[in-house]
Amino acid sequence: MKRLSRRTLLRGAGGVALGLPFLEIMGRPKAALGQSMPGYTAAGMPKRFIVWFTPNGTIPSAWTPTGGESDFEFSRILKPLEPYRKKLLIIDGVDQTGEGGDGHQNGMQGMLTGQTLNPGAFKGGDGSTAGWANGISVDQRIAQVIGTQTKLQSLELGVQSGNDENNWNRMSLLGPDQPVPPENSPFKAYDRLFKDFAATPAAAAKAVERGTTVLDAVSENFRALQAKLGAEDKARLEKHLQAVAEIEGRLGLKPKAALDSCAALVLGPSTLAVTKNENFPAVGKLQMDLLVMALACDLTRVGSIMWNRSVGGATHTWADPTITRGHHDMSHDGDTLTDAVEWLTKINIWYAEQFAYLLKGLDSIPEGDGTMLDNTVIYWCNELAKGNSHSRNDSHYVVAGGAGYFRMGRMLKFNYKDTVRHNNLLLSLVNSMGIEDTTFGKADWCTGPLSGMV
Amino acid sequence: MPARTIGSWLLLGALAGCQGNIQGALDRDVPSGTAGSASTPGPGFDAKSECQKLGTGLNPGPSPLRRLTREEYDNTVAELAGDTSKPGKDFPPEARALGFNNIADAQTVTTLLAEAYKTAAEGIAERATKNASSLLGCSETDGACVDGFIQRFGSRAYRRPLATDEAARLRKVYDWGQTNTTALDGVRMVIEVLLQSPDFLYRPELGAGEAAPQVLHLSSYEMATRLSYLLRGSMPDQVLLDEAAADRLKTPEQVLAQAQRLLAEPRARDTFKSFHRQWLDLDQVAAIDRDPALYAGYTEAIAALLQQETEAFIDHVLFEDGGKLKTLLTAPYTFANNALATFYGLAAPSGDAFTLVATDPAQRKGLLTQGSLLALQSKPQQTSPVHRGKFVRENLLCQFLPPPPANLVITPPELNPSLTTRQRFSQHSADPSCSACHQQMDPLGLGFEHFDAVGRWRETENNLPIDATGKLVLTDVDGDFDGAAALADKLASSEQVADCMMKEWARFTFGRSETVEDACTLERTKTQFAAADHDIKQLVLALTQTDAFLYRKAVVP
Repeated sequence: MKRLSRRTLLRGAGGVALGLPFLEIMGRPKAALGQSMPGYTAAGMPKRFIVWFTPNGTIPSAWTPTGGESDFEFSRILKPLEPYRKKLLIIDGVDQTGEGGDGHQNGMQGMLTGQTLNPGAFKGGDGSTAGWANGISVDQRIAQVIGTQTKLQSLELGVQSGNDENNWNRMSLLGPDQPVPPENSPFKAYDRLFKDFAATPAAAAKAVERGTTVLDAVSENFRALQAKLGAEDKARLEKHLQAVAEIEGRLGLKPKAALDSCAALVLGPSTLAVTKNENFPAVGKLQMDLLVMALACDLTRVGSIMWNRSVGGATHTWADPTITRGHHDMSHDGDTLTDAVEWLTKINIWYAEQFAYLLKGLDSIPEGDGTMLDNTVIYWCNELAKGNSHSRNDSHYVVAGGAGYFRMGRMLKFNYKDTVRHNNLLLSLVNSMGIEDTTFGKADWCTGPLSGMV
Repeated sequence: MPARTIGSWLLLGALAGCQGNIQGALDRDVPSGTAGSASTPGPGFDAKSECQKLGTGLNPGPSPLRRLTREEYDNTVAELAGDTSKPGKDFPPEARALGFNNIADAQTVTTLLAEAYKTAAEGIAERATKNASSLLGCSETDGACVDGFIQRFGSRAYRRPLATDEAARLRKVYDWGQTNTTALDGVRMVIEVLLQSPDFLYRPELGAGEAAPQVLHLSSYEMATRLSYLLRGSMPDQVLLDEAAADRLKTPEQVLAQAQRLLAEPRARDTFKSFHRQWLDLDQVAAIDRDPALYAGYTEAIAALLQQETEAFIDHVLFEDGGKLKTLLTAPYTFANNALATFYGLAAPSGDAFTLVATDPAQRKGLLTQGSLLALQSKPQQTSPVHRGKFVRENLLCQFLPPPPANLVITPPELNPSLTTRQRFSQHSADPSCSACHQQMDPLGLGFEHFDAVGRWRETENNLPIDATGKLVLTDVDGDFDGAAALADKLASSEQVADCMMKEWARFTFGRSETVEDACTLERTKTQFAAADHDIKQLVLALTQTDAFLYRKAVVP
């Protein structure tokens, strides 16, 4: 691994060489002590937010821990997370049911948005009858506020998350009908993040000016064409023009809060076939490493990792070599088919192990008096609660880190019969970043932050 | 919003469900084209009577702004800048709506896509300027030389001559480079701007003169672009650009003459390949996984050959054997090389090259009896009569089936070594809550039972004899049949299948779903397709003669 000191990094990113701790560089966030600015902890550390998605439901009987709020015992699936007990908040029994589409579509589109689905026409395996969610997803809402200072507003990573753009393959949305695609190749993600890492200040400044010159001309061409087109086509181009403006606006941004641990990664051979089933674990590990480093280098503060996709059919032989069937196919089997139930449990244990790996990465990076994990909220979600029933009214989540906002080391159990909507949970996540929204998603479904979280 | 408008009818259809009676079968040809269009055809849409209502005027329907697909982008930069690196493979995946990747209303833009366009443009500019003197034909430090380049390269990128102010903007960009970096970098920057501009990435049409109230002719350049992306999948070739420069792409006859010329060029084969790949999901074939314990001999390498088989077959039928829809569905031959024929147990040609192999038409005939589609609509450990039936319903009959109700515990019949697949799936026909929908799929799909989950012929399953009798309902060729070959004959004689083929091509051609305004476009195309004995190339030519292809509506700001 080629290690860059923070000094190198900051110089490399185009500013003057700065060796001071970041708080002194940027000035302490201006708020009274004990009160935090949006996106910062009370101690002035930047907050970060990560979505962690795994598909096709879980095996609830092997997922839900037993015991009480703080003396719970780890279940078979969550056992790998035990070392992080004090940094976890386990949530069980929240209702993620939405409206529109079949179970998978509904779960996938509603999971992060708390919205109904708009009609749509994607011809897919299960005969989709729905389109995209009718609103912004929680990660993108958070990124609107805490992602303004970084090279990327947010970083969406996928692990074999599908080749087509459809409502099983996307979970993040910028707004109604505006899906955000995940990057499935760690090598392409690496280029986005680190390609211009080592330029000299003068060269970097010139590159910014050059980029601005090109994109200004591009934008002018967009506006010139827009003036000649009808209203609908004009609107199509407007979205594209906004994306160009977004790129241009970030050309000169320098990392403000990069940590000493920031270092350029060496990914290994870029010949790794990222779509090949057997490479699933290797791709996943690279994506996790990249995400941790992107946060440590302050290239972004909001990220997501989407493992496979809703209805994902990866054959998880790495979770158990005897597995011969695709994940989704198996997830339809009845509860009495013990082979499938055991395999599905093993798959979810494997995902918990990966989750532990991510937590370990974040926890190994010192920040302030603690670690980067302490200043981050990680949200593990699934589009379904249970695969064979496609039910979502009794859903399972893990929140990790806490960002100094949630009370951690606990398990919160809700009775699904009380229909506590996950909109409340999504609102709590938004609030945890210091964003004082009062509702999230479809307004009728949100009654306030989820009780017991703080 | 794209997704919302494109499928509102599909949603209505799904809500209706199968409703416990077979009248619930739904027409898949439905959605409206553009937001605000009040003219969405419903499930019972009858093009003939709707066309009579429209009268004699011109009815082009909507012409939404279309963006180059990844494939079109790659083909275009290869011709424009000699760049064969296929940068489009690094773009984010594109939407497939109505089965196709070129449906304008479903194309979304994200920062990631805009970034990918930027990265691609930078790479292409870098590579194109490696040999600057051959690109420019003169010195990059000579302003007049660069002006000539801007006009020459720019008009090919925009597929029309550049306006004075457009050229001036590009010159300014070059000047920045010349002053601040290098003249050569200035040229690179010009290319980067061109390749990220909407005039390149999209296919804007402003029209040229009224053909009827609120209906415009296209300019000859715009028509060259329409023809070219339909039949070449790329920018206009020199002949089209010359015809456009002479303004000779105005009349239906001129358009037809060029369409015929392009159809005879090798590139047309790629367009047809692309259409069929998408229509039949052939790009999914290579990834088909099978339990090796159950399907010995099936490997990843065979999967790739299955895809090649179908693509070689379609290409042959269309371009060497008359191009009839009937031939596509019933030809008594397929294509194979030694490895694939051995896998199937067919008389094996020698070598790796694909050649025509005769089949026993009582067993195998036409597209539907090929391993690619049979395996694609199967499961890792078993065939799937449900998916095979659904595929025919949706892709050949253009009928849409709603998904199973939400929150339903679906317990597919377990594998059972003492039963056949037909026996295991009998619950679907016995249980009324399943049968309403499943009778449209299972009795159709069971006709393929002589083919296992990798498309090999079998006489028995679990030592029990195969029963491949089936039944078609809700079509114009209803009735009992025995085996896939008999089904293929039925489908080949169906007007509904021909109609469906016509609609699939119309969507692919116009980049949108049909609307009520297209009633005459569809009706006339249907008549011509029938008159040509369902020759698919004639179908495509007929589509170039429709109001939807020849005209566009006036631009409403």
